[in-house]
Amino acid sequence: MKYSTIRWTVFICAVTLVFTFLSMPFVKAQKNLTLYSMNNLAQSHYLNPAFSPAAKGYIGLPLGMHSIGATNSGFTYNQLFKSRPQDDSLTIDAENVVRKLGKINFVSVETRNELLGFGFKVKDMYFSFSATNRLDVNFIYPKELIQFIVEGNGKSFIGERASFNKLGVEANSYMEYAIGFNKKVGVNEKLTVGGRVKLLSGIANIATKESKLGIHTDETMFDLTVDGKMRVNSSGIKPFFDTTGTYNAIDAIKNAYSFKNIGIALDLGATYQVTEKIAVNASLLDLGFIKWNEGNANFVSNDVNYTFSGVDAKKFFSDTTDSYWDQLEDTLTTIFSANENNDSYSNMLYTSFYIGGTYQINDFLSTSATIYNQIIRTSYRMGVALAANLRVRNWLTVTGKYSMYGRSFSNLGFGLCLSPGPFQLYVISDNVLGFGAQRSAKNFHINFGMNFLVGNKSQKGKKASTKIE
Amino acid sequence: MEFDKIASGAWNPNLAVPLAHSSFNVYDILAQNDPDELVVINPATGAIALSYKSDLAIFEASSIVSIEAQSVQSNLSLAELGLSSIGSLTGTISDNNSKIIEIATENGIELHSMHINNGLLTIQVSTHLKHDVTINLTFPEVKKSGVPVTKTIQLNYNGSLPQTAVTQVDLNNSDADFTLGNTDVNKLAILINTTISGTGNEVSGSESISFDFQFSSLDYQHVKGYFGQNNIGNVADSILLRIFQNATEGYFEFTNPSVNFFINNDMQVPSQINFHDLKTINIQNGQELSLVGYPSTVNINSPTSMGQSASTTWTLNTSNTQNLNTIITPTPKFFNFDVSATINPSGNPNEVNIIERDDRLTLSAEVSLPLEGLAYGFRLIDTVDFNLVEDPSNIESVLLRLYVNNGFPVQFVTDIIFADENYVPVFSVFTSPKVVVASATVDGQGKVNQNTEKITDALLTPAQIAQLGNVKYILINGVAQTLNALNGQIVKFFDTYKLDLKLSTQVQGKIGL
Repeated sequence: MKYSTIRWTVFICAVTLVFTFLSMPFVKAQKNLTLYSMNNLAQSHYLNPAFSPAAKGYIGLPLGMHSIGATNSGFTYNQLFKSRPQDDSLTIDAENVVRKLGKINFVSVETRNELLGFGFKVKDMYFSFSATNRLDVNFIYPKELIQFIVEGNGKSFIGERASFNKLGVEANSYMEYAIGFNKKVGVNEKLTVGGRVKLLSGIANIATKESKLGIHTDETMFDLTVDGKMRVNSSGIKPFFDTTGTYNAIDAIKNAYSFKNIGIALDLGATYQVTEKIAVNASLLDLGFIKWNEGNANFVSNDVNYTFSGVDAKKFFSDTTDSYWDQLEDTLTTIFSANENNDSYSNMLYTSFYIGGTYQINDFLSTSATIYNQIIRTSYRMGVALAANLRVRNWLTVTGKYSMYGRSFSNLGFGLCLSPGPFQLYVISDNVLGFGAQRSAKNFHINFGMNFLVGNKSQKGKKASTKIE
Repeated sequence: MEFDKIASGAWNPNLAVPLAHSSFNVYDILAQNDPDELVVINPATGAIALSYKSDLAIFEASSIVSIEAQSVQSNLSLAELGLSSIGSLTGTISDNNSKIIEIATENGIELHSMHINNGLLTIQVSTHLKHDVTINLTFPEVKKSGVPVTKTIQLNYNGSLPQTAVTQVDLNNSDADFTLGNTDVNKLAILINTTISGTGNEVSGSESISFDFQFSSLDYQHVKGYFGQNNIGNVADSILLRIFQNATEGYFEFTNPSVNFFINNDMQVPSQINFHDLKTINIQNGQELSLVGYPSTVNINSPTSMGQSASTTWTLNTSNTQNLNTIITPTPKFFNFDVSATINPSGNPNEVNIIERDDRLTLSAEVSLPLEGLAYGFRLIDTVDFNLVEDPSNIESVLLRLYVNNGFPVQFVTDIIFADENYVPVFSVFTSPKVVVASATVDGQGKVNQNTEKITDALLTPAQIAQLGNVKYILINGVAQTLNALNGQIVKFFDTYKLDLKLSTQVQGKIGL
């Protein structure tokens, strides 16, 4: 097959994939898509265990890797505020926000802080260790909830059920202690496979296991029917609402290493050098769970189906006024009550997987395409990125990326990696517009760090290769 | 992010919520908290009648027969004493005499017998005899425990004249017979035995012994006799017909009204109730309408033995009156009664009259209005205080929606007016009076066979909401009528009828942030 035909096939596949996934619900915070494209960085193997840096080894000192990303898939600053024509003051444009929202929206924050990390190569194998604090918080809000608050129930919801299904919080905070390994396998050693086994110590968790909630407004007489059921598990958050107990911060910190809430997870990855210029890769991350045993507070609501038809006038005027409201309060308390227990429970991690491919245009320039997928409970989320890596100098690599995720189609990523001497400094963002054009951005992301490299081969004039060393 | 440039905004929610609901049956609508008003249901048919009751009169037995304190005189002459005019009397002379005294009564009352609870007989004796006299009195028909009452009086001459003596006879718990052995009435026999012991003084010939019998504090337990053909009392009273209380005008026609009289008689005396003036009164316009063509007297039952009661029920309805439904038609407020009671209306009966001290003849009345007929122009007016405490500038418009599921054959047309403190209209909710309650449909017998649903919307515009600060009263002015009343449709009310109401609102807010 001619080289030109292969390139065109890859391009068409990439474009097809992009337009196919345009119709899918893009949601979720930044997923280090730019970092995934910078597989010469030491920490890229966090996203694909088959990746390893060009250097023989690294230590994540003195800074390690720190990543923070935030996304509001629902709306941007510019969509929330509008200018008044008479002056340059801003007013809240809630109706516009409602128009822009998707059926299900998210506000998410993800942080990753590498407290210790190192790796080293032995022949064709690569070993690594890391201790990372991970925080992942998602607040899921349905469009109809915001619409209900903004518009009330008297416009779009007459005769309809305002669905607040899937309203909830998913939050995970844990320490991850990982041991990684990869190796070239096969006759031509074109295939590299790797994995990371991770021991997890849970710090805090909120998991909305079941969230069904809705309010129906009768078409004729506006009777309000509330239906639903909620089931929320939590661990480690009692200090925020339990006023009867005594808590201290030390207990929360101890959870980071006590393994009272113990978990285990697995990362798998593979890369395959198809041709000299084309490589494909795939990884499966966070396949695992945490069993939450300590500091649990689980809430299960009753199955609610309550209709309010107004005050019963006869009863209201025959009882004393206070008696009537007291009885109503008792009724509502019984209906909307929740049972609490502190049973142990397990939570799957938010498994994700990457599928990508790279094409080495020349010694200095390569391109890549990546599809990112994540499963959170029953939600499936996707993102797509196209990137280009340019090795400006042996010690300077620049990456540019365009991605679509979180119902946002204007995410321009940028990565800068400086490798002066034995140090490697990098700063990456999956959406630089989040800094320069915050008002129209839904995503904010930054990833930065500093490593100490041992035997950095990039200093020796190697090309910006898609080949994984 | 120029958060410092954020100015005030607006929040314009539209909220649709139910306010109140209720279900009313006939008891809720018609029965008030008034012990004099009842909703009466026919257990066989479920048909409803309104019943307005009142106790009209109580005639006490003690007002029929009472024996006043009285004094009766009697005299024994010299001859009756067995004496004649002689110079001196030294020996003893005894004699027996019988005297009859008559008890005075009023109103032609004839006493036959009596059980006396309390009573006192004071006997005064006086004589000019100059001798000692011993008098033994026996009342053969006044007995205590079957034994005649007796009394002995002693006069001892001491030189003073006249000789007098006073003694008392306790009549408590005694039985008296006034018939002289079923030969007379009101009479009492007295046996007098006198013994004169001569003192040697002369008998002049003009002496006698006089007696004064004083009856006082006579209280009977029961009395038998004939108590005369007498009116024992007149009473005028009225019953408030509360259903019409809030009605200012209107035509209301009951097809089968009735007035029931309940008489309870403890006295074994033939009696009769006389109705002099039965009429309805509308105190608002002063209209009085008299009932005519009705039987004005009713003979009432009496018990056959002491301690018993006998009841009599008497009903006036459209069959035995000429205009009963007519006098009720103009929504009167009171039904007026003027009655009297007569005992022994036919004179002295074959059987003796018997009454006990606590016997009564009681009379109560009930106006019964079976809810069957028609009504129109039945105007109802109500005023509700109103004081808006919230700021109306946060409200752009308000829709009030009333849902009625009506199982009654009654329609209600109303207008709702918001008025200021001087009752001057500020604005009206409807441009013209609206049917807010549509009548249910009825079958050929006038019974509802299909409920009717009606939804009425009342929209308050921004201009009207801005005026709510001036509103102090809400005037509800409505007219009710039964189904097709103007065409003479008769409808009936049953206990199964229900009226369901629901009130909801939809508010468009405009809240500055």
